[in-house]
Amino acid sequence: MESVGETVFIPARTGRRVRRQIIDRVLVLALTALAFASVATVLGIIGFIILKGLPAISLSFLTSPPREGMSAGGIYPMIRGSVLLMLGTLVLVLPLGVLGGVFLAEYAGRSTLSRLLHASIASLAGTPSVIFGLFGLAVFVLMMNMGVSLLAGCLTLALFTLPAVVFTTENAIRSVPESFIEAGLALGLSRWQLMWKVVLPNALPGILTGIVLSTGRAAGEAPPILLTAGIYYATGDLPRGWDILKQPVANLPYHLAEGYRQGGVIPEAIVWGTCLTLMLFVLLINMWAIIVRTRVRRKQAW
Amino acid sequence: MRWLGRLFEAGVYVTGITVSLVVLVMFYYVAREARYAFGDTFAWGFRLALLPADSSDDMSPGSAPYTTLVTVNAEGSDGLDEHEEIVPAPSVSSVEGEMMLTTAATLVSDITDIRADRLYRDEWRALKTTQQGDQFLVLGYATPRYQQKTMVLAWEPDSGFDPTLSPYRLVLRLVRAPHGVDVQPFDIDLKRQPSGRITLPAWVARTDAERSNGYVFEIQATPHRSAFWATLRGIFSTEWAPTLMYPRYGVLPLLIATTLMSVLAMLFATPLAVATALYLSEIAQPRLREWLKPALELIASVPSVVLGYFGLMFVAPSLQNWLGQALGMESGRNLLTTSVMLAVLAIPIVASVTEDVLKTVPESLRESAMALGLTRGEMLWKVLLPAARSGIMAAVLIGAARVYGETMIVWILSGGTASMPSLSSLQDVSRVLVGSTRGVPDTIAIEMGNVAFESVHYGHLFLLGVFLFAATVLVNLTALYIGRKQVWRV
Amino acid sequence: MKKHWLTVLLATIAVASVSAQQISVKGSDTMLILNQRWAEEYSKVKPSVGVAVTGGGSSIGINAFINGVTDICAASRPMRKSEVDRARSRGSIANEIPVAIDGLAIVVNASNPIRSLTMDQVRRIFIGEITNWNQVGGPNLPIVTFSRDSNSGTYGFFQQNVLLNRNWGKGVRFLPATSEIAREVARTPGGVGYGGVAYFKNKPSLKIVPIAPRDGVDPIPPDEENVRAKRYPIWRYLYYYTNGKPKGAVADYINWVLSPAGQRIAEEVGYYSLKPL
Repeated sequence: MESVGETVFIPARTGRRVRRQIIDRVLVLALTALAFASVATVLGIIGFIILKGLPAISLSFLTSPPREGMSAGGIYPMIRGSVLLMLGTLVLVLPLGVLGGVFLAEYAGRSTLSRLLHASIASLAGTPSVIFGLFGLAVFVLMMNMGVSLLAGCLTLALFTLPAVVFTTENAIRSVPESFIEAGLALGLSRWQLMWKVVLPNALPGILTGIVLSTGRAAGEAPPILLTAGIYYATGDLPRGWDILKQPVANLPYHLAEGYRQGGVIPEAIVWGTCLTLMLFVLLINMWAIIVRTRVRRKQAW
Repeated sequence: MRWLGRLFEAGVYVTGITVSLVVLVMFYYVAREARYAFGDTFAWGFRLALLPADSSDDMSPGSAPYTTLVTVNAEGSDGLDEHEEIVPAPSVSSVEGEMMLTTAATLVSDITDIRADRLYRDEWRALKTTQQGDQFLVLGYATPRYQQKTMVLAWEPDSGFDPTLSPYRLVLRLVRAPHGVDVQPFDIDLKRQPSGRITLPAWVARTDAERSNGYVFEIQATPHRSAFWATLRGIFSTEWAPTLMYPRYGVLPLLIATTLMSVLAMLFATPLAVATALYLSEIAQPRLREWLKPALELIASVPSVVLGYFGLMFVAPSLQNWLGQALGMESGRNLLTTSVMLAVLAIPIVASVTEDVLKTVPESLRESAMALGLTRGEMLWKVLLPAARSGIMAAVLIGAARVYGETMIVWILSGGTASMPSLSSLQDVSRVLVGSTRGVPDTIAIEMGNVAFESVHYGHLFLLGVFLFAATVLVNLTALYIGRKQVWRV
Repeated sequence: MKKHWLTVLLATIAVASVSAQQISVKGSDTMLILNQRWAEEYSKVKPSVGVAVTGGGSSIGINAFINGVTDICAASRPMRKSEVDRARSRGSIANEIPVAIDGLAIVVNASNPIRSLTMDQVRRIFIGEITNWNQVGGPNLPIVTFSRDSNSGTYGFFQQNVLLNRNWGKGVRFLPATSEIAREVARTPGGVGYGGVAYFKNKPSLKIVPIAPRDGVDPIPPDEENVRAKRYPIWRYLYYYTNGKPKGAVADYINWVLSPAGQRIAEEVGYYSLKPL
């Protein structure tokens, strides 16, 4: 801000102006170049992985289990495990995250306490994923004696996604127009009726896409499930009913991490195929959420 | 209906407060598991040997054939109980070759209990807690074929043992000279003088029974510092080698390596990310922006394990080909490659948050700058960037926190050697840059698989978690404070 | 729409799950590939029994065994006495079953004229006391040492039994996998590494060095008879642990693992069978 004052005085000599304009052009050009360089780098990585992984991917790759010591066959159990982990995480994080978001948006007020709560959740959001893995190992796997299992993994991932869900819910609720609430109040609705009948339904699309986005990211994270839910290989089928929660599951990020640790057992083509599948798994979820979000925004058009 | 409303509101309050407390609960439990790091058993070990008076200086107790190793609590990565072999001391007539000197330990701590038929040599182990002291009696004698007038008592710490880190006061002393031998008693502080030699008059045991009449040396360990302080001292030492017989749990090399790679990554990422954000928010056409912003968000969600693989398969060999010769890079797995991939991880995060920050700069500021006749470039450089400075700093810090705790990229690309980086000269710096390294998060993820649960090593891994947790929370809160806006994981 | 999709998915998962019996094998990373191959082949022999394999390390497996949450614990080291005691206090009696033999070969670049090494020389090479091949009768060429990294059980085994608990030399490079060691040694003229014999066999750019257990004893190559007869000095058993004598499906599985069919797979993966096949 203070530099504004310093730049007020501009002498109007032509030579200098030309030079200034050249500098300006160069600067804008440089910014454009840098911006495109960084976007190109990251798009390039995605492209590279698609290029490398695509040859490995086929219907049978996605629907059959690995064979011959992981050197052939597909990655169906890993995809299934990732889907299960994501579903479990969704179910667990939904009530916690949404109620937490409602609390922050509508009940916590604007006090110092609310700012503290915000800071606390923001700290959780910035906590490295490996810490969630440690916590999950110490508390869910060992202390609560769940063992390495789907349940322990889902709980760990639910904690991991919790802050993001809370914040997106809060934002979605805050973006419900004031006029809706006033109309509700005019109709004589109580606070919770207002919440239940007016605010939540209107905020729902935002909340849901937010949740899907954050569980999508969680599905790609290896450290939380490395110590809580992963398994290398299993024959036979998953048990029926609730017993499934006690079983560890193979999943995509664990497969990549363990594949790396074992080094060279899994052929490169399959590794790239797994990389691509995991990336698409996460990207498609995100893309879907982003598209839904924009569509809903257009439809609501407040 | 009314009770339903109450229920809903109660649920909101309870959940809201619970959710806000999760971070504290997590910190508590991670810190609680770190208590296992503070065990009360510490390993120590010394080798004692009698050497001929004319032996050269490079003959050490470690290489002498008849040496006594006294160790306490030295587990190694195997069990104590697996190596509990007790080797009887050789009889006088069986000591062969040039070394006609030997030491022998006894399993008693009272000098009056020494018996010639209970003498042992080598591998002598015991399990004691810090509160207890230890006393080991070692006999020394020469065999009849030894001709010289004097002999030398040599001692050194067992390989890998650093006496300065021990919570014990360690003393080597002569408790009894053989009958008729005139010698000054000595009392050596093993922490000040961890290895050395002393010349003594030779004393020969003619028969096996006579062995118990020889020199009696004592190594004594008395509790000196508390176990807590010894552990703390070990934590802030410079070697991480948890699987050794005398494990070292110095976290400094890991913390420094993680910090180095994060700083380097942010140095790469910040200009690119800020430029991208400036371009998106100030230069790009609105239609292009509508495409680029979500693209950036998508990129931010590429799983880091995939980025790690990309780094391993593409970036590491490429860097090795381009710069390998120039920088003396032995392998593509090094600090530089890791930082480059961490920067790739950070760019979308920092760019996205920075763009949000730039949007909050009031339009009036831009307009007045333009009205004053500033060019667009000048406006960006002299008005917008200073105005958004704190927000951008916050964005960079958020990116840094994310990078600091990143596990998979570092695991795959760092090379895995935990060593204290030396930055004293330019050459050293370049060696560190292309050298194999190891950070905090990857160490946790790699080693947690192979530790015995609730062991000291397990505790130290949780302790590393505490450091990592505290560091990232601190950085995030700083970002929150200086950014003065709600910021979170992108 | 979305809800239907979820229901269908959950229903598919529930219906697809029909298997009654599942054996869990957990533990050693060294044995992960072996366990996986056994599980895969067993599913062909007995499709009705599923086998779930998890790695993580011997200690993870032993801990799971102590807590009674795995049927079989795979370990590349014997259980410690303290662990056996802890298991007993929780009602698990450790029953130790060796399932294969692992011989670790010392490997150098094929261009290296060195004929053999003694155990002591190997130790001093890896702890950094010997840094040039001319110190052990080879050419004047600096030694570049390669090791597995510390998350592997092989690392710990080598450190205890070959290095005799000494620390690694300063220049040792730690790699995540034995296949990487093979690749690096093949590329480095002065390179030396260690690992399962199978990774180095029949590779023209690598040479497996016979090892003399003591000075003045004939060097012994790590071939099948020598390892099985325990003449070759660097070897270990790989173990399965069960709670008491195995029963039912677990017993069937272990019997199959110890049968010629199972032992042949151990050989294919790169270990040695307990008895000559």
